[in-house]
Amino acid sequence: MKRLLIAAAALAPVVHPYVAEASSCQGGGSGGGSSGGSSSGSSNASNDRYYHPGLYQNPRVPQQTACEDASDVIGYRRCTKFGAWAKNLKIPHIVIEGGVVVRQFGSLLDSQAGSVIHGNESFAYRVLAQPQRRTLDTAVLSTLRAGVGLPHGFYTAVEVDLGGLAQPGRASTEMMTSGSFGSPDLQQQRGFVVDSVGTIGVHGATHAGGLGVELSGGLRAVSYSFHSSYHDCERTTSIRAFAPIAEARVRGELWLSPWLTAGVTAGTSVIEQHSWMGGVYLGVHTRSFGGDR
Amino acid sequence: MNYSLVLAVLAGCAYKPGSFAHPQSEFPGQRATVGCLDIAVERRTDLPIGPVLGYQFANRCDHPMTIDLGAVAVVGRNAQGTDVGLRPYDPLAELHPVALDGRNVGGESLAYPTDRAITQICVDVATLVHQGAPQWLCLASTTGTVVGSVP
Repeated sequence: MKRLLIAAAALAPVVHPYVAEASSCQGGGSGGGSSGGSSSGSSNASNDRYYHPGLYQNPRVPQQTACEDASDVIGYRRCTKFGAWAKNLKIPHIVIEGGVVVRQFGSLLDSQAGSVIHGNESFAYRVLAQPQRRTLDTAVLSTLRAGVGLPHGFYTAVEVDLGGLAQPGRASTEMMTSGSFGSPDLQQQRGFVVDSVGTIGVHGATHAGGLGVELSGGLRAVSYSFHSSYHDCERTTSIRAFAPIAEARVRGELWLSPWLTAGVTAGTSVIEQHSWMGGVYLGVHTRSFGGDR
Repeated sequence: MNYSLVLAVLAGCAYKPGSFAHPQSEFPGQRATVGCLDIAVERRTDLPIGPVLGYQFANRCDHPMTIDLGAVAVVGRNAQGTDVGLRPYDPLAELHPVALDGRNVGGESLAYPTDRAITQICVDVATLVHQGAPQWLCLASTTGTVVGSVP
């Protein structure tokens, strides 16, 4: 039993290396409400953390040292492996693209309902699209896309588009409740759009660039903003709506350098009429000319 | 971040064939062109085990090119005029053929163990890519030559 106690006492600082910290901080914290002042960079020993020396022998704590070679000769160096200059060919062809796209799609506002709060009053409203024809939203988005080359000219990519509604489809609002001073006046404003898309495609290469045909699918999230005025109270409220995306696209690009392309893309929805997109982008490739030459 | 600067770097870091120049690399020593490769070989200060050669290479072509540093024919000549075939020092068996991407650059330094003083060392750079007729580059010893024994 005595041996067990001795062993436990010896191991305690290793298993709980911060045990000593709690007791040493108790004295420093005796100032009560003045603790803010006592932490102003003083080198008071009572504020210093105490770590048991066993902590540094604990194999679970990694020693952070930068690897530096005294020589770059093969057989003498340890930090850099032979052929580090060929690393990019040991991974799949990756493309990172950034650009701007313009999208037009059917407004998701029709028949949506929302609420706005002014003070302690809450008002419900609903949105009605123009009855004559379908209203369309136009959005301008920044796009960021990461793609990976697959065998036989196929590729896959994921894409996130983020931007604003440059021209939201016009819709009217109808208040469903009223308060002490009547109903708020709602004015439609712009909003923002987030598209998350996955893509699979096939491309063909020419000496100057390449052409691609692809199918994309994902989810669109749109937040429509409304400005609400109610008896000297101004608020902004929004309605969020979601819709699936399924597009057929074509894209063409030119090589600006062995690792840089500039391209254009255009597409149309396969599940929705009058929905289209077009954009321009720059792409950075991990392989010279995409490995196509 | 200035995006135009990033684009300029991306556009400018491709190797221009025949230039023997690259923002990230220098091409010291004797130069040669073999197939798609521009090659510079420099004799560096000897290590105790023997002479050291620095290879710098650049791919002139748009497609990858295989480089076989372990297969390069290297011959050392001692003070008596005797030629000795040299093999690279590779204790970890790292050397193997490696593909260099198109318009890219790379470099390695290899030591060649020998038990005698090597005054001149000659390299057939054509064997680097197993292409074309032999193309020998010969390099004299540097001032810092120190020769020891094979480890």
